[in-house]
Amino acid sequence: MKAQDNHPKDGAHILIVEDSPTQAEQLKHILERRGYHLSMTRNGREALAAIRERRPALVISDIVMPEMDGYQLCGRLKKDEDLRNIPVILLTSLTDPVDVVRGLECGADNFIFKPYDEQDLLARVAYMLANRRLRDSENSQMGVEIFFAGQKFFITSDRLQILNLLLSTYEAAVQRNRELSAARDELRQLNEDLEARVRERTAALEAEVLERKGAEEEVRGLNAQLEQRVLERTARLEAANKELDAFSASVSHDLRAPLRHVQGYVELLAQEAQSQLSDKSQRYLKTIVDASLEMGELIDDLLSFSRMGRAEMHESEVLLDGLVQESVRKLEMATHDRNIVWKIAPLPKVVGDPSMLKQVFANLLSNAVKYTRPRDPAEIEIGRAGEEDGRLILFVRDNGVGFDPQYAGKLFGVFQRLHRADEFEGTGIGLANVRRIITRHGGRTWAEGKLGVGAAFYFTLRSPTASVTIEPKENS
Amino acid sequence: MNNLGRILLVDDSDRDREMALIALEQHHLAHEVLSLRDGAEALDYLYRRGEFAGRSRGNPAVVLLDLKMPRVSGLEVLRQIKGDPALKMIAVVVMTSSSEEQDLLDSYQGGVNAYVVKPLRFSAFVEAIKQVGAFWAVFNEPPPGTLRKESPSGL
Repeated sequence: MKAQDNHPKDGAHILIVEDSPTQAEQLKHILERRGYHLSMTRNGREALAAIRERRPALVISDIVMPEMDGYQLCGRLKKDEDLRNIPVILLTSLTDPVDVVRGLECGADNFIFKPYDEQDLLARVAYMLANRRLRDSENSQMGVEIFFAGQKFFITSDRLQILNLLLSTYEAAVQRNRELSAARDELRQLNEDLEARVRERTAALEAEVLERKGAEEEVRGLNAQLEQRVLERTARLEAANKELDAFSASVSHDLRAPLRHVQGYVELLAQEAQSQLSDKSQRYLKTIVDASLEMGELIDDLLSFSRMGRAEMHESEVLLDGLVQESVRKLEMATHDRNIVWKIAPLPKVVGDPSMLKQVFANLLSNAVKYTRPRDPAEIEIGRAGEEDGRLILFVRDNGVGFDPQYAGKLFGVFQRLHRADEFEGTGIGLANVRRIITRHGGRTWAEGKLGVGAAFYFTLRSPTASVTIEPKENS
Repeated sequence: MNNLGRILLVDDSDRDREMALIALEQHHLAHEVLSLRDGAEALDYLYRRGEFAGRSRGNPAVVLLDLKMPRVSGLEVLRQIKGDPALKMIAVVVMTSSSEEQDLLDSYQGGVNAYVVKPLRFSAFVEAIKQVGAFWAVFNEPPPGTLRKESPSGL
């Protein structure tokens, strides 16, 4: 360390007693810059030896040190006739009043509180050096014994010492107060910052909540709009469907009249000209009649299909067992010459329009009967295959001619057929009607099959127990 | 117009009328039939106005009525007949291509006596006409004020 300052030309000699190398170094740095000469020792014992060797103008000592502490060192110096006039500054934290009393007892001349202010330290050092002479003159051997904090102390300090100590204490208090104020200010500032941040955050959160509420409202609005649109679209579709059905009904009726006329006049012609007609001509006439009858069937089917779409549904609990038995009985009369094995499982109760459901089974069972015609025995199974979305899955399965699975999607279309008319009669309306009825009941239909092996037709219907929970409105 | 008009056939289709007449002829009822082409003509006949202003008094025993016709529909004719105390006793049989629920409902609410869907097959058509004609014009005893049957000698 270089003494940069050229101030005190007569650089007084100061002895530092400090066991902490960092603190010692700090003191040295501050004081050397002011031109003081320094000796460094690490405890009271070393200090005593150093003082005896070379008398310093001032001792600055830490308190807590190994071997010999600051109080002891100070006490020893003040008891020594030769050395007692060397002023001693104790470095103390002065946190405990006992420290003050102890300092007085040991006869310390002044105190510096850690952590110290550099200017304050220098000022005090300068003051102590300047007042050396004053101290030399005033000397008293009188002492007083005091009790403090359960301990006995014997204090012989002179007035100057006490004054210095009081001033130090006062300064310490002022310093502490300043520190406290600063801390309080800092706390207040922190508090304000915190409050500001809380306010900011709260505002941000409130804004966020508002935004989210707005977004939710928007979503709700959009949802409602969507639902409204779906409702409107559905209503429009239903209306269009109804219209289409009504149109097809009216067209069908209009088609029937000319068809009836074709029939009638061919018949009349046949009667009128029978004797003159060749076999060939008569066959032609017969073909005309057959064709028009066929067309009539198509028209009737179209009518029944459109009627199925428009007819009002009257839903109730339906016992499928009885319904199926009735359908089978009707078919058995027409199939007494066939070997058909009926496998009918116990069937559940469902909710539906009884006459429409009758139509479903009539169509599916007559299909099964028709397409098992080449089989001996034919096997037709009616059963239940678990549940789907709370609806019962029912099926009609046969071991008939089946179908190519790639056409499974076409099966339920109007007038869609997978077999030529000369193989199996029919117009292709049966399954379309089945799908329409099941769809109107809120269910779905599908088919599985394999060419030459058989077919299975599935459909779903609501069970009466599920209906209570799914659509409680219907009961109210 | 020599026909008595005990059977009033109202149909806008020439072919249907011809076929109906042929059917009735086969059952020797053709001479009883008066065929008209729409509801307006039917009402004129029933109220003896216009073309029929000079016809002799008396109601037909039965009106075979098509539903879908131009000018005045069958349903309107039915409602007029059944709404008029002087005509309401006339038997009205709707003969139509339609088996629509609404048409059935309207007809029965209008007081129709019978409703026949014209069969597609000619033989069935002839049979239906015969049954209807024979029942209403021969077997059924008509209310008073109905045109009289031709004397058996005319048969």
